[in-house]
Amino acid sequence: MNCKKCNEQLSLYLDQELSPAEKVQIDQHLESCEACRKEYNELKTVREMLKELPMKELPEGFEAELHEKLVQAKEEVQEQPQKENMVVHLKDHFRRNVKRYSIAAAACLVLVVSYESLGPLGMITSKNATMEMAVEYDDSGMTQAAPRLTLESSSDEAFSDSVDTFNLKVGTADVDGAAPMESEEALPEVFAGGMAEEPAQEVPSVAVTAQNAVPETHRKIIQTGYLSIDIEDYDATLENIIDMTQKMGGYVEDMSTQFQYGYRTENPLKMGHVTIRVPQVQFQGVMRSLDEYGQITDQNMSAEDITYQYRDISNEVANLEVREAKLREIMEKAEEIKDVLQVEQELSRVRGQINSLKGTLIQWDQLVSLSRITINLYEVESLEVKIEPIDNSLLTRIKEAFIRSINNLKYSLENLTLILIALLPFVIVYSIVGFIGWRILRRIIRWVKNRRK
Amino acid sequence: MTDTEKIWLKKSQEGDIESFEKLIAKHQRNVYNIAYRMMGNEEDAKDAAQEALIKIYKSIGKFRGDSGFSTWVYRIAMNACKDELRKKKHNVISLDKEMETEDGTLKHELPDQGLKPDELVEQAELSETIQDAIGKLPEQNRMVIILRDIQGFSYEDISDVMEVPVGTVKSRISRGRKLLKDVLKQHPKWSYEITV
Repeated sequence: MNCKKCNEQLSLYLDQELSPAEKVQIDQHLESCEACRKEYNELKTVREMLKELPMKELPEGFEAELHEKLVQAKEEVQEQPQKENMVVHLKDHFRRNVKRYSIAAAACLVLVVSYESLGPLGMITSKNATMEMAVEYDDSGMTQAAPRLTLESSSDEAFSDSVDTFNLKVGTADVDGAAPMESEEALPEVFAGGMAEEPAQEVPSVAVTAQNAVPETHRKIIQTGYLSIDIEDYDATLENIIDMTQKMGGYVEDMSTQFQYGYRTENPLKMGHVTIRVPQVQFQGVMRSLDEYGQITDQNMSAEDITYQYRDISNEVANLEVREAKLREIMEKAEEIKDVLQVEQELSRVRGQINSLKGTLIQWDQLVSLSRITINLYEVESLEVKIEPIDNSLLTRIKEAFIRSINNLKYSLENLTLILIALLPFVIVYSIVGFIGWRILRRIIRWVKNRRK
Repeated sequence: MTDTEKIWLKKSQEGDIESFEKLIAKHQRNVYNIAYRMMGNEEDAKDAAQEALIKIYKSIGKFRGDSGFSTWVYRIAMNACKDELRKKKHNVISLDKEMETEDGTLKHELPDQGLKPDELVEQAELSETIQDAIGKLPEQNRMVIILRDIQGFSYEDISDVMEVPVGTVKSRISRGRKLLKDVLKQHPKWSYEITV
C-alpha cells in the first residue's frame, strides 16, 4: 500500500465502503504514515462540518406560494389536456406495434392489389356479408335498456350482504338520473314481502324498475344516438330524414355520401352518413321512427348526466357574481388610483371567469336541448335475401376473370419485352466495353506472370 | 411507499393538488435544502425548489414507479437546480475581472466582514464559509457532496438520482471532499476547527 493508493481510497474508507481486506490495508498504512493520517483527519473534519450544517426550515409562505403555482400549473395542463395525451398514447402504441402494423399494411396492399386485378369477382363475398348481417339481426335485443335495480339472493346469510349491495345500487341509480325517492320507498315493501313469504328459503329475485318516475325537465342529460340502417332507396331516405329533422326544429350537422365499391354503371349503390340534431323531447321518437326506413343493423344510445357538473358551475357563477357585486361596491368607495386599479384588475379577472363559465353552460344547454343522432345509411339492392342463380353469374364471372388474367399476362409479357428492347443499346455498349476491358486485363495478367517467370 | 402514499400518487396523477401536496410533504424540505446548498441563497433556493416541485407535479403522470419515488423526486430537483444555475450564470458578475472604464479600471470589492467575537455569530459564519466553499465546487462534485455529506444518501441512491454508475459517484465524492478541504483550509478558522 503506497500513499497514492491510500489517498484515493480515503474517502471510501471514511464512508466505510471498502471491503474488510482493503480496510485492514488502509488501517495499517495510516498507522505508519503520518501524512496520510493528517489527510484522513482533515477529510474527516470536512465531512463532520458538512454533517453539522443545520437543515434549513422552509421559508415562510413557501407552501401557500407553491399551492398557488400548482393551481396555475393545473390550469395550464388542463388547457391542452387529452389531445396531447392522446397523441402521445397513440405514438407509444404505434411504436410498440410497428411490426403488427406493417404486416397489416402489407396485407392491405396485397388485398387492394388483388382486388384491383380481380375486379368485381372479389366483391361477391363482401356483398353477401352485408346481407347476412341484416338477416341475423334481431330487433328485440335492440330496444332501449331501462336502468334496473336487481336484487337476488340465495340464502339467509347472504341476505344481509345483498342489502348492502342493494343500497349501493340505489345510490348508483340516483346518479344515473332515475328517481331516488321512489326507489327508496319501494325498498321496504320489497324486503318485507320477501321475508314474510319465504323466510328460510330462497328470496325470489326482485326487479325494481326505477324509470319514468320524475319528469326529466330539471335534469341535464346529453343524449346521443347512433344507428346503421340498410335501405333500398338512398336518396329518398336521406331526403325524408332531412325533412323530418327540419320539421321538428332540428338541423343537419354533418352529412356525406359516396358510392359503395366505387362507381359502377349497373345499379350503383350508395352509402353515407348524416348527423342530425333534434330537440331532446323528440329523441326517442326519432330513434324509433328511423326503423321504418329500412333494416336497422346497429343501434346505440347513450345518455350523459351532467346535472351535478352543471349545478356546480351554476353555483360557481352565482358566487362569482356576488363577488363581482362586492368588488363594484369597493370600487365606488375606493379613492386612491392605486386601489382603483387593483380592484379593477380583480374585477376584470372575475368577469372573465364568469364569462367563460357561462359559455360552458350555454354550450351544455345546447347539447342538452338538441340531441345528436348519427345515422349510417347503406343502400342495398333488396332487403330480402334472395339466392342468386349460380350458373349465369358465376360462370360468366369466372370466364371474365380468366380472360382478364390472360390479358394481364399478355400485357406484362409485352412490357417485359419492351423493357428488354429499350435496354438493348445499353447492353450492347456496356458489353463491348466490358469485353475489351476484360481482354486488356487478361493480357496484363499474362504479361505480369511472364515477367515473374 | 406506503399504501396511503400510493393512493395519493394515483390521485396526484389525476391532477389532484391536495393529494400531491400530501405526497411531497415529507420531501419538500429536503428539496428546499438541496436547492439551498446548490444555489447558495434562500431566494434562489425557494425559486428552484418550487420550480422543481411544479415540474414534479406536471410530470407525475409519467412516473411509472420503475424507480423509487424519492429518487425520482430528487433527480428532478437536481435537474431543476442545474437549469436555474444555468439561467443565472448570465447574470453573475465576475469578482476577478476588472471593469474597464474611461477613467481607468475598476475592481469589484466586497466589504470586509471581519471576525466577531460572539460565538453565535461565529457559528453562523462557519456555516456561511462552508456554504461559500460548496459554491466554489464544480457542479458535479457539489451535487454528490450535498447528497452524500449533507443529506446522507447512500452511494447507490446517489447513483440512481444522478443516473451515473456507482464508481463515478465514488470518484466524484472523493474529489469533491478534497477540493472542499483545500478551500476550507485557507480559512483562518480552519486551525481552530481542527483542534476542536
